[in-house]
Amino acid sequence: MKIYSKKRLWSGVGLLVLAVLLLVTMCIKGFRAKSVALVVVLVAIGLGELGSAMSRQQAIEDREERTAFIESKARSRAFSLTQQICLVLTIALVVAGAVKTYLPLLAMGIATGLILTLSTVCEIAATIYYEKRY
Amino acid sequence: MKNKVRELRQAANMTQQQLAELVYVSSRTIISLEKGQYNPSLLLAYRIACVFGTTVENLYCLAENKALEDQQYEDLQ
Repeated sequence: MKIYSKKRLWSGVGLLVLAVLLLVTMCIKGFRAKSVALVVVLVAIGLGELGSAMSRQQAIEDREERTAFIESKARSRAFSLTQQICLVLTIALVVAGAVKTYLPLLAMGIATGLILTLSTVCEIAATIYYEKRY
Repeated sequence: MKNKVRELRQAANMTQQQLAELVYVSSRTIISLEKGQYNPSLLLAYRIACVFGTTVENLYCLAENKALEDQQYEDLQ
């Protein structure tokens, strides 16, 4: 059995250790349905990760350029969508807060506005960085 | 981008999985390449060209694709 991905191996081992710790906790404090379900999920995912760590096919998929391309595209799209949602939320919350004169709504609108500002600043900084690098 | 990956693969009596293993990618990538949904990096294109004993220019019909793309830039000329 060859280990192709140490990252997945340790991830799997970590999840199994968490499952064992949770099981020990349940033995001390008593069994509950949610905890049992969580243990089952942790074991299933942990064993899945261990299996993936020993899979040559998975190792190829993790390293290939198309996977990196898709991940980059997905993250970029998710970032854009999040910015658009923040913009809509900011406008909606600020307008609603002003109309209803309800401070918590205004505060939430300012918070989402700050998140939008931060994301825009990060985008500009990243653009400048990659412009210089490439 | 138009290409001859499928044509050359079938001529060589190769499955998508076999080609994928030779160039260190998954069969899903080969499927995407053949459909023209994904354009490979220069190195991957070269690896595939070497498998079929051809050039990247021939594999990816570069002259033809360049002519097609040039039409998009006509307004800039």
